Amino acid sequence: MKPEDPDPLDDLLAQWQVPQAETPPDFRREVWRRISATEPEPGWIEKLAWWLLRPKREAFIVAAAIVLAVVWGLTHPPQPEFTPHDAYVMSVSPFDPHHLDGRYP
Amino acid sequence: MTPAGRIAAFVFLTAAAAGAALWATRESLRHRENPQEVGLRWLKDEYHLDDATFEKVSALHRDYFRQCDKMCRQINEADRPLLWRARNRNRQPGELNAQLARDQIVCGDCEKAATGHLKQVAALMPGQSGQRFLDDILPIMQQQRRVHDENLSSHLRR
Repeated sequence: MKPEDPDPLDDLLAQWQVPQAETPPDFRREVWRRISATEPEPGWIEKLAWWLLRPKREAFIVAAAIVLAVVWGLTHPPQPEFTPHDAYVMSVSPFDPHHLDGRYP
Repeated sequence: MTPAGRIAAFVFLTAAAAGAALWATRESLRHRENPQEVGLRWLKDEYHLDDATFEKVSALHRDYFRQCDKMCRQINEADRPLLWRARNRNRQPGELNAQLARDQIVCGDCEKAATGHLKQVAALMPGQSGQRFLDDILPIMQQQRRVHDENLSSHLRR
């Protein structure tokens, strides 16, 4: 067939019209329901990650942890390295193991 | 990265930040006091020294610490060659004994000076406090002297 020859189907195709059908009201929802039905349900880890790992929430949690750590540090100061009694013995006894600490390298 | 891995990484980084903050806070609060000052304060509180007595006791300690500093340097200089004996195996036994004797003399002088100082301090204390003070500190120092000598001789026997 030569390219300039008319195709007998052309007229038929030109006459063809797509019927205007009304979509049901829950069509869109039903489509998404079917799509989601094919996906597996996310586990609790995925849900937690989705909830937790958001920039603002992450920043808030890190800041809260740092504030709590500082408050804990302030309310629980470190114990002294030695008791006052030991400090006295350390300072007067030339035979105390720590008497020379840091004095003669 | 999997969701579990991301959560683990976030928890780890948060814990590290909190740990660093806790460490920095506690380190900033740690007292870097001189044991001599802490010890003198303890002495005043423990033996209920009034201000005048404490001033005399403090002056005695200042003198003692100056003397002690010099004598500690001597102990250190006497101990060091003995402790380094392992590196100098070619030394003569006579030389070693002479050094050991020197160390014992220096240690004896230090112990005598410390004991004399403690007795002077005790004499300034009211009532039975002086004896209680000596009963507390002197046995500890004597025990430490024994441990010092034992450590030195066990080191030399190696």
